[in-house]
Amino acid sequence: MLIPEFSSFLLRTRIIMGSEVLATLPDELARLGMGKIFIVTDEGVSSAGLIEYMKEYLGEIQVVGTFSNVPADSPLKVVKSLSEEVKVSGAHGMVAMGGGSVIDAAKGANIEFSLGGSILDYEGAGLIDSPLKPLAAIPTTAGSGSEVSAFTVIHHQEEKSKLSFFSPYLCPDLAVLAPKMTVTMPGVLTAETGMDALTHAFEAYLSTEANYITDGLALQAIADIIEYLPLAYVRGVDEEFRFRMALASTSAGLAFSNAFVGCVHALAHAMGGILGLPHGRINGMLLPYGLEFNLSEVEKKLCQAAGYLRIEGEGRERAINLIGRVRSLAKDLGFPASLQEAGVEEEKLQAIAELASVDGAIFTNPKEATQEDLLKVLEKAHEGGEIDGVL
Amino acid sequence: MGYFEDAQEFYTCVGNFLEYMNKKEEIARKVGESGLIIRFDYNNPQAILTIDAKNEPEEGFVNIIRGEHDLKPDISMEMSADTAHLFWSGKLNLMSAIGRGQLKVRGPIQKVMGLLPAIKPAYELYPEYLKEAGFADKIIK
Ligand SMILES: [Fe+2]
Repeated sequence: MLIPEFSSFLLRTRIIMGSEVLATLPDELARLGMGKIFIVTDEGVSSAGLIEYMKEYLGEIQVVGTFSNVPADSPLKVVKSLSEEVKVSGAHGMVAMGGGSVIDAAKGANIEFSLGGSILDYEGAGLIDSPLKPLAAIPTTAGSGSEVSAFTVIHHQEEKSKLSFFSPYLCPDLAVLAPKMTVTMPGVLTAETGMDALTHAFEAYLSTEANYITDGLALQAIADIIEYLPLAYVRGVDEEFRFRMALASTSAGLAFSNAFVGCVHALAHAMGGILGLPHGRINGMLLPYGLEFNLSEVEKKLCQAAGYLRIEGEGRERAINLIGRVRSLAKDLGFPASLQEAGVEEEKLQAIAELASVDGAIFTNPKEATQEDLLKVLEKAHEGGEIDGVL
Repeated sequence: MGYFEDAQEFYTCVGNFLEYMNKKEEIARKVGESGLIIRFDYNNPQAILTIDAKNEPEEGFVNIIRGEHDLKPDISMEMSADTAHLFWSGKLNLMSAIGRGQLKVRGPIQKVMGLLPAIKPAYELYPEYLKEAGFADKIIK
């Protein structure tokens, strides 16, 4: 084994999981000093009845406010009004129940709620250097990993830019994984968030910053997502399939919060900004091609992952078979077979490659990726070429 | 013991190198066009360097300021002088350094990342420059 000069793995979030886990919420929240909570969620989650369902378990815990309309992409305006509402509510802390956008919005609002001033003063990395007010996250999708990650991304819609925040103190204090929370998720959302989780797992596993611990988490997540995502997609009511996906997504979240991601996310960030397509859909379409591009650098690791999945073959061929499996998974989940089919115009590819070549995610990709390289990846994904190891 | 004896030596190496690059059009033009004020606060030894691409440059494409000033930076970064030395030697992964807490960034980090391809040729020039300036012992192999 190659001994790294330095590597690290951050543990901050307590993760509780299981079918009866909500019944322990009063104790868990009280331990965090959260006798009075403020609930953050979105319309889909609250109309699915999940908030009412959770409230039945709260016992002595008092709900002093609810913000139930966080839109996609956690816009700055919404984060600001959320933090104002929380400040005057008298809450000890927030419980965020929803997908990545809801949890990210709560993390963002927690900065202003805890530290005062403007969230804009904390844009960047490593600027929050003391614990924030307690935050519990209950994911209702299995994808973003935000319930355990040290990042939050807030969208500044007026300036058409995104604000990134990175600090260990952005990790929620408590993550609650309950199978009931994801059974109502629609099929398309299941597929897209699930492929986002798979991309987190693969990119963390292959990242320049991967280590022994992130590898273990990422490998298990890769194997479970490939096995259980198609099952959760076709039989969403099955709590076991949902629970596996919740565990795998959180494991992938822990892995990428420590090891970061790579070229697929760089491309997805750029494409999301330019075309406004959902993050998970883009990742699902690009992941096979990103893996194919990295193949020459990470063949051994891909073979190791293929072994976990009992995928046949030797060396390079085995790695290609694994990538092929990822591509057929995306097809089974109803993803467009090419960017072209998804309605992405070829003229846009150049601008996407240019933006992706300077995205933060590109710096931990295992293989150096120039703008020209990224354009090639996009072009192959655009025509939906077969995975043959040539990229 | 770090790479630099004192602030004086740091300014002679890294500060003078920035000025040297300011004359290289292929590197400095893109930085100049960014219109950004980027401030670097170093520790061990303590020093401050600021690249000002907002105001009219006195020479080259940007102004390079040593020490304290009143300009409001768009982006500021805190790191040790050794981390800066590693960076200009092309031996520092920015994302890893952030993850390890070796680098604090205030402001829109993507804008800094956007300049990296333009300044990439600098990584090769830095050792050459150190050699010419009589600091061959500081070159990282
Ligand atoms: Fe993602």
